[in-house]
Amino acid sequence: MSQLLLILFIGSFLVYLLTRMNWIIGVLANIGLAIYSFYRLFTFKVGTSESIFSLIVNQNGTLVYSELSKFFGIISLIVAISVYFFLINWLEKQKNRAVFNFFLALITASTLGVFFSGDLLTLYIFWEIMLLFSVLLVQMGKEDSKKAALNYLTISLIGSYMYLYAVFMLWNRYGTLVIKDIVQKISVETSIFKWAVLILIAAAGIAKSGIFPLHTWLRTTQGSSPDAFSAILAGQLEKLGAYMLVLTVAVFPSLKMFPVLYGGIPVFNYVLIVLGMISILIGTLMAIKQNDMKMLIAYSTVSNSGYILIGLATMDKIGFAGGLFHAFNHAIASVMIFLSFAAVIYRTKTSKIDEMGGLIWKMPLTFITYLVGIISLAGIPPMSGFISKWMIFVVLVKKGMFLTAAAAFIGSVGSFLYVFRPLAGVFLGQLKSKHKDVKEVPIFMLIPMLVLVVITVFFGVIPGPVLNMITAVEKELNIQPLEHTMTVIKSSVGQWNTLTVFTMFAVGFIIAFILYMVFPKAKRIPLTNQYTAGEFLYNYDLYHYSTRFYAFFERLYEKHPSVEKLYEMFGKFFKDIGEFLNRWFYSASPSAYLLWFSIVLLAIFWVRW
Amino acid sequence: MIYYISIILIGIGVYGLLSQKNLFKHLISLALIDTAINLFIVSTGYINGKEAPIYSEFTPIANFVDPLPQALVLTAIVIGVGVLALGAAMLIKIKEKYGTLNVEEIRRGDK
Amino acid sequence: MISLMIAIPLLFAFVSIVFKGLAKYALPFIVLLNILILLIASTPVVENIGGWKAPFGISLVLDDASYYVVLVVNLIFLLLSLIPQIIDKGYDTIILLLLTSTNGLVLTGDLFNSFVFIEITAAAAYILAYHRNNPYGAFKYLIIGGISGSFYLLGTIFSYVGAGSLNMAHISNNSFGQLTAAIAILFILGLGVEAKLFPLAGWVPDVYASGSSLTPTILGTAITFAIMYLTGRIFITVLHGTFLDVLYILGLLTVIVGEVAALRQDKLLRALAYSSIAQAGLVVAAISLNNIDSLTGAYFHSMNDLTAKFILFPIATVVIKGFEKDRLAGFAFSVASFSLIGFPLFAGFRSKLLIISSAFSAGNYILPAVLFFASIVEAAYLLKWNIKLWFEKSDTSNNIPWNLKTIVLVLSILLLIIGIYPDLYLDASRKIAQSILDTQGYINSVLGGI
Repeated sequence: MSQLLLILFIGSFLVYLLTRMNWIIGVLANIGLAIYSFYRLFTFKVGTSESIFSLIVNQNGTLVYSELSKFFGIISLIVAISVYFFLINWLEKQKNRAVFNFFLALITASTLGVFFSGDLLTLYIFWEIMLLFSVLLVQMGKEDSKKAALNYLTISLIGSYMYLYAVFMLWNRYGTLVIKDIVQKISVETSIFKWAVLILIAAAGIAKSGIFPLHTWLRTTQGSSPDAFSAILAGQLEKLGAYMLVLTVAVFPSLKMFPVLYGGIPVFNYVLIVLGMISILIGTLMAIKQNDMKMLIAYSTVSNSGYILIGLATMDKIGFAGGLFHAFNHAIASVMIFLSFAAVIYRTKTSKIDEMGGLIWKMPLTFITYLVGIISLAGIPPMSGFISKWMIFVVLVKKGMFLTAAAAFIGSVGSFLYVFRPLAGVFLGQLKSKHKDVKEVPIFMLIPMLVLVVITVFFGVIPGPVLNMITAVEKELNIQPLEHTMTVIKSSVGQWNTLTVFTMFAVGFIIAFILYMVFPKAKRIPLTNQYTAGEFLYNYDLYHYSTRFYAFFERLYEKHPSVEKLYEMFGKFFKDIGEFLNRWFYSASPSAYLLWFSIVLLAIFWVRW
Repeated sequence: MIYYISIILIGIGVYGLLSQKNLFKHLISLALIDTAINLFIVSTGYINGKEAPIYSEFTPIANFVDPLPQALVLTAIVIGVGVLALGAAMLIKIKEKYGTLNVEEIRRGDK
Repeated sequence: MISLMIAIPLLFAFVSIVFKGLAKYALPFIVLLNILILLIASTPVVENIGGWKAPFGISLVLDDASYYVVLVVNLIFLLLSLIPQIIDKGYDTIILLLLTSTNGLVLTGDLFNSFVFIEITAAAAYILAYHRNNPYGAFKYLIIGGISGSFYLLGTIFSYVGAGSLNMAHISNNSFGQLTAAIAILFILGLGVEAKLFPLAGWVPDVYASGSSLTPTILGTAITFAIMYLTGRIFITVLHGTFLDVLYILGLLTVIVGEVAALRQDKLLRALAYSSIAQAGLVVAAISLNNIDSLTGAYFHSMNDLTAKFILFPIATVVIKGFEKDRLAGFAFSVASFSLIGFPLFAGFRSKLLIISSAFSAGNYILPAVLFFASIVEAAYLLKWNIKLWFEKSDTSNNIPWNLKTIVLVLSILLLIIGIYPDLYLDASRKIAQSILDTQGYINSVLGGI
């Protein structure tokens, strides 16, 4: 593994040099690296561990290859490979291509490093490398991205420094950082220590995957970062957050560490579930409001991370599997969506929903990608996204957690609303006159999108291979494995046969298609006639309904409290203090200096003498 | 006794620094504090009834006050003078740049 | 032999008043000579000036700690002498004087002597602060520096009264009785102003951000490092760690205040000045933990900080418009800021890690928390400046002289190397820490077993 990581890190420098010479070769090299590491993932034996450099005295960094690292490694490499393919055409319009490619390669390398890490400090190092270079990538986007990058950096650093604090607490207590050793010792600790450590560790995952109190960076960051990178951000980097959450709830044995509340869920996990619940609601409600399609999906990420977290935190065989499977599905679906957006923006140069429309005729394949993506994201059968959501629902119902189930249900309904908004605003409706000569995107952008479509549909029908990996993970983490076959998932509430469902849908589709063919064709009229009843049009662009799409619904929660504003207030507070210090202390007169000097003198005398 | 004088002098110096707006008065206050501390140092070496630390026919027995603080004070005085001269030079430059030595006017001028 | 390190620069400083322009050419050679003297010297060397034996005369001590500190200081001066463009006419004499006093400050084994050298350093620093017509900032520095100097002098005198000696080793060997607290407080006030501790040192931003590239480059690196050494030496070797808790609180306050104040600054130099304050606070706080790891971490961090600041300050003054024309300088700037923030792979990470782990092993949970808070704030504003400078469109080309660019680039690569292979700095700082903590060894080597 250290060999693979070394190859990747050195390879990324090569990628940089190659891209400087010829950017297409650079992208191809990047794809080559990713595919090579994808292949290597299957050659490693699960359970092998290696030790690498040492950072603290008596502490060797270790790499461990587990089922969990395999699962997440595969997700992130699928995402990476498809986005890199996309870059073959897309990168042409990006400035600083060499640096862009270089950072992408580094991010993939460090992401794998995080998954391979066998001890907490190595994990932190790879995590921070990934963070640094992703921040540098984010700010290569639109004008707002400079500010967004800062936002992203600050919140991520809050998470990762909290994590590091916990790491050192553990190190101080046990003198080791190897996860395996710590996990064995921690369950007998005092409960304050356990709570502190786990909350601090979870903070990193919460910040990265965009769970409620630390979700605010997602909107601006995903909204304004380079379009192809938004896909990486959603598909690859936020799954690091999911990995960290798995680490917190499952690798650290939350079942043994905390008293169990009703439903067999540990107290700590219950807190996480509440956070997940809030994120589902916030993500959904805020996504409905967005006019920028990337920001809209950014908020949907918040809500989907909530699902993942809830699934994982139940620590139930179905729920946990559902969480992991949802992580997989969300990665694939959000990459599809962001890639199709990138394709749209590539052609139309805008990401505002109300500035587009009717692109279905111009970019049909992109539309299909988006459609399949949102079907999976919103959890409509036959796509794989439904299965994972179903698994999470099942476990919530089984455990009697009806409040959470209600939130999850609202989120699910809400997701229909918000994914429909770009669908209607961007792809359906009236084509704008300025987009008359928009073409479908080039072939290399289409290939990864369509491959992802196939993957989603395939795993929607035959989820077995992914579920096999997930059960392996569950066995490894001492959770009862999920009972399933290639197409059937068994639960205590009933079972779900994906093949039957797919067949039903397929039959329905075929019947509808036949009916469509049999009945007489409707007369084709110009689109604008629908709005004008055949009247003459003076102003062509006004008739497409996409501004304030859900105004009737948004009115219900117009004056909502916002965490974002709270954080802005904090930021302003610190800045004001800084200004205060600067004005009244640092650029003050000599008298003020002396005043402070004497105050210190007196204070020390008073306290210490 | 001399302790008290030096403490009073330091107090006057600190008061001057805290209350005055004129930078030149600040410099004078600094000089006062310097002097006060020098006085204090000399006083620490003083022993009642002893003589000046000079070997001569009249003082065959070394019945001296401690000579070291006096030596130190000489150095400290020299340094103090240097700093004061430097400060005075700065004041000339401040006057050239801002046209005033008043703290508040300088602050206004800076903005 | 080691007294030459003080004597020769001083001689040339005087000579250069008569023969103007001489100092500029002499500076690199003088520094090289100093380094040569250091290389042939084997520690510990104790040199008694005028042949007076240790407790009675002034002695210069070159033990492991002062060896490496002097080495670092002289290397910084060497680098500075290689960029003569930023040393304006007439200031080379001051640089020589500063070299004299800094060497003396580190080498001396006598408290009163250290007061003299601190005052000379301060006087030279006042003049440097005036560089680029900043008389008000310099005057403010002079007033507060003069007062702190007086307090340092009082501390010295109190030690003489209490311990009956001015020799550091001798004082350390004797006990003060009741005066310990007074002495410690006086030294805190005396050193705090130079060490940039929060409520004491308000002068820093106005002096560092005057627009001169010479002033912050030298004051924020060599002088700061020497003062940090002196802080460790006085409070740990001489005073046996009394009143370190006060230093600790002041250090933490400084970290927080420095970073928060830097957040709003719309001038890069001022932001960097505040970052310098915060880093100094962190080093002081780490020193005050008073164990081998934390001291090592403190000096290691100080070295990383000064390396980064030697990159940041000159670039920040020369480049006002952005890096579009000068990507290499931009690269160096970014590397230096990432190292300051403490991202893995960069030097600052290693030292921060060491400080944190030593704090945790000492059972201190507050310092790491403060450090993390500071790092977040620091990351926010340093990255803001990086982005701004990289993306700002500039029409005018900034002329970064080639020698400055080379030095800055070499230093940034050094930061990267240290991030991966820290032994170069780590060994030096460990030696400094060991020797500062080894009170008995210091006493023995100076007093020769009296």
